[in-house]
Amino acid sequence: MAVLKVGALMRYYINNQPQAVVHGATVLEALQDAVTRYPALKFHVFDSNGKIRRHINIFVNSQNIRDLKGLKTKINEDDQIMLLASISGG
Amino acid sequence: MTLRLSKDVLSQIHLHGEQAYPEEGAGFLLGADEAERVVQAIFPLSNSREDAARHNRYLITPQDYLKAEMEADRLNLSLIGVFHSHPDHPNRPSEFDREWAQPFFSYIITSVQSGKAVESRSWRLIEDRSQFVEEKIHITSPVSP
Repeated sequence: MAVLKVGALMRYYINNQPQAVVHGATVLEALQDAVTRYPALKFHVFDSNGKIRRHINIFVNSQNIRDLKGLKTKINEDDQIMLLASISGG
Repeated sequence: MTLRLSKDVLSQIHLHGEQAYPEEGAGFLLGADEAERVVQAIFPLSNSREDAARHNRYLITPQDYLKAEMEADRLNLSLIGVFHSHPDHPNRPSEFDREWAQPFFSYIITSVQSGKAVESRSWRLIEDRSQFVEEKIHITSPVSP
């Protein structure tokens, strides 16, 4: 069991909560569990090929998973997974 | 839709835009989104776009976004929007702004003309992402001495 935190932008898709409990041994498993529990979240996290959308950034305990083992990063019970969208404009 | 903020906060947004000129400056709006949307603080950030694009583009890195989320948590506030400047351009959202924007956030855009912030307007992207609609900015208090 870990905690999934989302930015304010995505709270709407997890019943207006700032965080939710998720299960899984890896980041990917935890995210798959999250979108099973909160189907509205799926479109915003995974593309039609089942890949994580490019503008989504994932952190485990404040470390970007790009600097860890990506979606295969193992998670423990007390870990915190955070999803944040990229911010840009012009 | 109305976005409430103090003159102090608006002055900080203008100052950030002027300091970034002739490049775009950006940051987050921190506040509450309950019966009404109120900006209580800003979290100014560096523009992380490459040098050649900073005059008409801004980028907030995931790491900076995370820092802003943590600061909002610390202050018991939420991230409710993004502010950025348009150097020598009007304070209307560009097509690039629309492509990258997210529904829910308020987007304050400040026009900075010849280094001086002249006016800010706030916008929200509608759910189908097709266009921005303007939200009225309501100023709540005078500038502190």
